Amino acid sequence: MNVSLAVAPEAARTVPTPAIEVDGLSASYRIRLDAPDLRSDLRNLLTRRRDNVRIVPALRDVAFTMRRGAVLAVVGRNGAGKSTLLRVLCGILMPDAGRVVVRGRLNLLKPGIGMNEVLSGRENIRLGGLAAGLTEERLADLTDVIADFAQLDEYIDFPLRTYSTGMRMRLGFAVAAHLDPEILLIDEALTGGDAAFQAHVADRMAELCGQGRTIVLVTHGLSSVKRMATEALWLHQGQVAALGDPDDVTAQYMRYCRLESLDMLFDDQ
Amino acid sequence: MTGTPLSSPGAPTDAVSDPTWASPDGDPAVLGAAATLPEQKRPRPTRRDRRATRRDRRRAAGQAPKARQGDSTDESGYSDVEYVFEAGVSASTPLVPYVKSLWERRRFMLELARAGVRGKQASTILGRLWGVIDPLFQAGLYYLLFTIIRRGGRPQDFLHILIGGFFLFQLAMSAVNEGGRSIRGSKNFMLNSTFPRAVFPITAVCTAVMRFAPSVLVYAAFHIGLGAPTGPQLLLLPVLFAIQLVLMLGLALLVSTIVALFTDAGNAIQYLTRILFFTTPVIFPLDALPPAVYNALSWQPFFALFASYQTIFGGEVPGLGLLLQAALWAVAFLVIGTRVFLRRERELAMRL
Repeated sequence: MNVSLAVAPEAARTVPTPAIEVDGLSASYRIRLDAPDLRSDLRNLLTRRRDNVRIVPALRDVAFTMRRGAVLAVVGRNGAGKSTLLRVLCGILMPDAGRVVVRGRLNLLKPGIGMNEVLSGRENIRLGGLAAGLTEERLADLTDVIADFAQLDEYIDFPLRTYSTGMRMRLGFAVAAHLDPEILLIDEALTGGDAAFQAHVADRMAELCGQGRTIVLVTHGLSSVKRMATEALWLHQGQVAALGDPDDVTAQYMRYCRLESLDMLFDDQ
Repeated sequence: MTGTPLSSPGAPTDAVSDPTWASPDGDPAVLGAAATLPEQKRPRPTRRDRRATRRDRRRAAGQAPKARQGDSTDESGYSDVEYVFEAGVSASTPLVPYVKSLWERRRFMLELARAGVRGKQASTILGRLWGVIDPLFQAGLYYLLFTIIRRGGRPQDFLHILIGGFFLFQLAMSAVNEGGRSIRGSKNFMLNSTFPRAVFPITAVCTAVMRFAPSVLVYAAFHIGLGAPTGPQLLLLPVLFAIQLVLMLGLALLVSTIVALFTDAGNAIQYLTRILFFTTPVIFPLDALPPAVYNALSWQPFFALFASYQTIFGGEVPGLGLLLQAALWAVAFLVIGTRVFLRRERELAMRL
């Protein structure tokens, strides 16, 4: 498949060192379907037919290059392969074909992953920081900063099971946004939280983007794509549908979604 | 982080100089692609084909990231780390850097294990007291069974042996159970984090040990209360416990991999634990075994360990042969468990 590269490979050579290079990347999931009845179970067991195993291609021949300091927004419908792309980028899933080169310390941020229900907000900050590989000293400095950022007041010392969905998201984002990797893969982190917190998030994101980090951002909030991204990638059914200028790509994606105006997808819904 | 950077400074990977990079839409075969999608499209593959395909997939999955790392950061402030994830390259995760990266996460595993212990007692009034009540109740139950129901049936001095052995056996089984399910049970974590996956089974073993800790006190109370023999042989208990830790770690790694790869194995664990329970010298005294049965059972991996425990609780020193046998089983399981886990680690996330 011919892909219009935002940065053509030839151009990439003149740039010192790209942070992320993805070439001919394909990845798939193997899904086992449960047989509807005992007879099918027996048939699957006795015969060598494996009609209950499906191989679902999640990414097909994806290629792009990101220079250091770029902010790439990945858009696309549910199930288009956005999260899979992030997982391959950080080595959680292995590609079936192609290769991925990542230069720099990287971190996948999926807010709220691994947060523990019985622990307090503060203890969860600690756990999240340790999971991301922060040192004890760094954590000691950061815990209060993160707690302040989350704006949870006295709830920060309550167990997580007492939190509302929005509060969880705030805590999750606060932790994720303060683990300072060089390459940041952010999966659906910007949604959730109330309007005040959204502004807070936007400020923090702008701050992160301004620090020379390379950021890959999976989001449904098209306005944040336009605001923050330097490049955008539209994934459709695992393939690159468009790649390039964020305004162009979102415009194409919107046209596909049959939406006339940005207002209808107003923000991060 | 899963993509453990290998320290091989001065050995840049071929990422930059890779000639195929110039053609992003090049033939996937050039890029060393393993079997991709056509597995289901291929018309009636022979058994040999299938085996080869599986092997290729395994290779693709078992590939370790090539990376180089130096201490320097370049002009842009980025550290000199490079991860290459590529299809069709075979290698299991190398041991030494892996253990190192696990060691770096020791605080994380400890916190995670603590949270696991607390989870069981969350929002209860008695809280941590449940950790003591539970073994106390079980020991009390056995006490009743022995002193009232089976009066005169078995020698009274077997009771503390039974209680001690039972606690230790329960510990081993929770390591197999919870360790075994740790990977499959952490799907969300597995798919959205990058630290070494062995964190999950190791943490499960830690949690089991932490939950076991109060049982030691309960046992000690019974040991003294029942007037069981004390002596220097008790000093061997920490050694045996260390052996048991190694055994549990190996089992957790091995079983968690198998359960992650074959869901069916998760259902089979309960049969395994039951078989182990009835073939391990916990509920029966060693000297009650006919020689033929003793010889047959002594091949069971848990036999030597728990026979040694029983001997020590009974006030004697176990033979060196028995101790060696216990240690050998433990080391064997750790080696096998580690090997299997490292070989399949990169495949695990895809099987969930």
